[in-house]
Amino acid sequence: MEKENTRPVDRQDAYGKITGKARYVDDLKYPGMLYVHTVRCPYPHARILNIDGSEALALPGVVKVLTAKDIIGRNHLPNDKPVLVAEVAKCAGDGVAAVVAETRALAVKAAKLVKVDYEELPAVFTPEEALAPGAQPVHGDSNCAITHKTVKGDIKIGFAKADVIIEREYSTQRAMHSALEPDGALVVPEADGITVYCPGKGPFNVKRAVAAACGLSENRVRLIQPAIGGAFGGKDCDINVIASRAAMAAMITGRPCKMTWSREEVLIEGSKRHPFKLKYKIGAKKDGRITAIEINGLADVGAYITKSKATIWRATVEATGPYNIEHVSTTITGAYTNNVYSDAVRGFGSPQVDFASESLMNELARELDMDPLEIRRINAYREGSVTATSQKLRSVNLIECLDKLEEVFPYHAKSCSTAPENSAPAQLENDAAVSGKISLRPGKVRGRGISCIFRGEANGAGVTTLDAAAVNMHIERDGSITVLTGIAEMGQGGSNIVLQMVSKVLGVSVENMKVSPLDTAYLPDSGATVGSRGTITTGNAAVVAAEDARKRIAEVIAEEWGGKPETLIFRDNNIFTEDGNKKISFQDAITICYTRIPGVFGYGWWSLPPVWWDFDKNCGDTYASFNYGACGAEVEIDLTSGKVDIIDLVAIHDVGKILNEPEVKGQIAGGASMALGFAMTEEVEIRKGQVKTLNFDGYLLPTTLDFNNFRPVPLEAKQPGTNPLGVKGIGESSTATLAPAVVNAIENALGVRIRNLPVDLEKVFAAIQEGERIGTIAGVTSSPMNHGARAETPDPQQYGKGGKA
Amino acid sequence: MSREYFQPTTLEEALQIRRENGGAALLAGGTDLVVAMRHDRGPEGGLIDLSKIFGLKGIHEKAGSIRIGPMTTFTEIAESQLLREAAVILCEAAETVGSPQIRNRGTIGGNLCNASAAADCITPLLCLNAAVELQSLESDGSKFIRILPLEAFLIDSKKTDIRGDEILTAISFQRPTDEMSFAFQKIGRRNALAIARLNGSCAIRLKGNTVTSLFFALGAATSKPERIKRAEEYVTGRELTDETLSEAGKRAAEYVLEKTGVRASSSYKLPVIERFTASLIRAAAERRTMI
Repeated sequence: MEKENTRPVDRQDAYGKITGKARYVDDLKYPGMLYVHTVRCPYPHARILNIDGSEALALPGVVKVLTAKDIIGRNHLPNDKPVLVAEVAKCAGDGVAAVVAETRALAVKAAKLVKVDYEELPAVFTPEEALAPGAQPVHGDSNCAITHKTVKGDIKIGFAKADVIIEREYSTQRAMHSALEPDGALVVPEADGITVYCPGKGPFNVKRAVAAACGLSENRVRLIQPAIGGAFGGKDCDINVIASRAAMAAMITGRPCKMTWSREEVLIEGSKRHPFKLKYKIGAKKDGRITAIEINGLADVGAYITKSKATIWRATVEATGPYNIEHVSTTITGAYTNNVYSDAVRGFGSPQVDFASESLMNELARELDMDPLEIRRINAYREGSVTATSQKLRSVNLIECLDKLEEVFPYHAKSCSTAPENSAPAQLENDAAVSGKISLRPGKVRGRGISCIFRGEANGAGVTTLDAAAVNMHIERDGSITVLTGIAEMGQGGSNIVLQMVSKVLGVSVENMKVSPLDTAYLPDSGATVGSRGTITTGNAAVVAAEDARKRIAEVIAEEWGGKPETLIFRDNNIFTEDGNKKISFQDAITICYTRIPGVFGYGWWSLPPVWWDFDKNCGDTYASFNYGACGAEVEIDLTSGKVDIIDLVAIHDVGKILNEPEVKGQIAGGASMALGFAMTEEVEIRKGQVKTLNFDGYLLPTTLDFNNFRPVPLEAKQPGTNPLGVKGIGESSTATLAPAVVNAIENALGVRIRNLPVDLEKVFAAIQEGERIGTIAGVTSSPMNHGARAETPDPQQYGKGGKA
Repeated sequence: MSREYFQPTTLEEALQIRRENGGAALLAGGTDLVVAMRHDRGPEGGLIDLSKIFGLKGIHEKAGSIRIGPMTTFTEIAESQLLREAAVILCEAAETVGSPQIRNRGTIGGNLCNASAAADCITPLLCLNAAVELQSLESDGSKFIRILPLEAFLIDSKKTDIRGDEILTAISFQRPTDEMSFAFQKIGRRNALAIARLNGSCAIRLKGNTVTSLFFALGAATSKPERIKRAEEYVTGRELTDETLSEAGKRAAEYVLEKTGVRASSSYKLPVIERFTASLIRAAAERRTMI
């Protein structure tokens, strides 16, 4: 059975996506369909005085100009993003009106003709500004959107015990999801409600949001999900708003209405990853044991709350990194600003704190003159460790991840023998000496870095509803199976996992099954496909549902043959008796079932054990379980330009049980490449509340030529996950380990620490200049004969000692 | 909005249309023009699509003179056996343009006429001392041909000396002698789909270790890709030592600072130009020793 998990199973969504037969929302067209385009506020904070759509309406083909006054139901929840701004726009790009027209080009043109009078208001652009006394509030009377804390022991006592205390500050930037498919929705008015076609990770959330905005009961909004062109944590609140705008247009005009955003609109109005500023103070004994940690963080929530509370809560819970620390105090505050709003992005608060805590561990190792891997081992969580929230941990596989890292990544090796080309830097010097007069090779240096993490599984106590999912299946008369699941197939391979689990229980080939399109009209609400919860919740639910079907079928066949139903074996599209003497094909068995019982189906729910959080005492069982990961990176840095290239990259993830090895490796690779962009090139630049990065020419995703030499390692450690399948979700953990490993590798190469993401050309070049100044690298211009001197042996114990901050 | 779209099949027809529709823009690969149009920064008037004029494509050599048709794509340049032998830096530069899709569409003529300061194929052509051929029709229907040094053709960022009735019909240069060696380098934020943060080319001739001739051009440093003559003059006639390279780098950076003034990017670009200059000249010299 285990062997089977390494066999690639054809992805059912792959054929359509590869051949172009898959239909995305923007491919959908209805007769008489209208197009909706948003009119946006150009100011970061402004009161709407008047909206005049008459000039736009005068254009032939323009049907309606909608404003907040036209919203039938609820515009927004308190402090949340409105469908359309009614009175005061809180950030530049806020939608204030929507133009409905016969063509998209006309809607775009007409939107420019809508005259809006504004009264500009004072605005705040950084969390510090926002929280300063007397600052202009974005909502209510304070810009403090949320503060989460964890407190354990007494940091005063902990720091008193420390031999060494260091304090460091880190920051992360505003980044975005970058799904290939921009957000959009098509809404068709029906006799008794509306049908919404839109991509998204939480179809039931979108359905509820649209129902509320349109004043409809939830059962009158039907959502059908077309193919999804990626989400990466997005297609969430943005889709709620888009679908609601299209829905109000459809209800008011009585015609199908579509709104799809351009890339620029995604950048201007769409949600982003929370920028964080984090101050860490850490104390340790000479032997490396950490005695205390104090963390104070500030996150830019932007103009609306959306899921910031849960994001910042997760960051707070995970901020220490995966280490046993007796005395902990963590406080992270999210502040409202007049910037574009922050919302869920794959990783959901983890990559930010993991970058800081894992950079810090290396800085502490440097201060103590210790091996960075060793200091992690000394402090690492083990089975039964107690977290900063006083939660006792089970299924802890961190040490195994670190062991694996040491095994597969040559962290302590003296030469770069694992480098793919035979361009071991040690040889550069010799080559360079050939001409005698000048060094011919441009200077390059190499360095290695590591990181490790723990990450809470699934929704956790930051979400109050029970974390549950259902799978439902109809076994057709010919023995083929239609599987209904609420999991959104965003490219991660979630629906195939469901089929694999059904296949395992019923012994029916995946080829004989089909996942039904996601349609809220007949599917059980299984929550959103978020929090890396898809495989844990839906995979286990699939087993429950398939067992339900097997019991039903087995009873019929056992009665036919005589004997006990539970002893029958379902395998290879057949059913056997235990001794193998009797055999019937699954198809024939189903034919018999249809003559004996009313309906052949399976239905099953599964939920994670409940979790809890005490907001007064700041403690609780935060997540039902955690997964662990480690990363190793080797980089080569061009001393002329500051360009960093990845020479070797290993990501090890504790996945509990491997259900599908090619898929899990693909998922790790996807997360890691997203993290490489977060580490090095991706940033949404915003100045005075205005988004300056407007397309992919400025928002730089890593290409296949940048994401080099990657080795994903899914790890089945001793302790399986704490659920019947033993699985752990790694959709998001894979985004959290790479940035600190790469930055630690850069520090290893240059002897200079960069503490602000992304580490772009300019920051790396400045670090090179600093390294030359303080003598941790030989200069290119000052001493060209000797440049590249650090490149020979990236030895973490030897390197960069001159670069103490 | 509607606009006139022409798709001539001969150069003569194209020149005629160009003459009669002074405002009509030339559409080569479209990788700059179409993007600009989407951002409402494109030309106002009609478009003359040159893609069906077979004669504007191809790379030929005649009597030591290499002639490249302006509609030759970056992919065709990168893969040209003739250019790989005669002027490999042009192939190397073409390989760094955009992505495979962009290289399949984008053309060398478009790259020159768009005249971006960061255009990847211009500095190699400056170091090859290339010339451009421009044709137009006289009122009597006869052809008028102008041949300009590429240096003179490039006026400023996005500005060339092409007239409203002219079409770029060839880029040509003499096959360099074996005594010259060349290098092209580019600094980008990514390894593909990168607009040059800096790019540059160098052609060098050495006698012993003394530089007897040097062409050195930088892109994305000033408002247009240009030869940095201050560095060329300093290095020419000198022994190629680390000190010479270092001083050449300083002079290049000084020149750029004089041209651009202090900008937000200066704190990165100026010291990098110093190193990049040294690195490029060194790389060109290294090519010679490798032969």
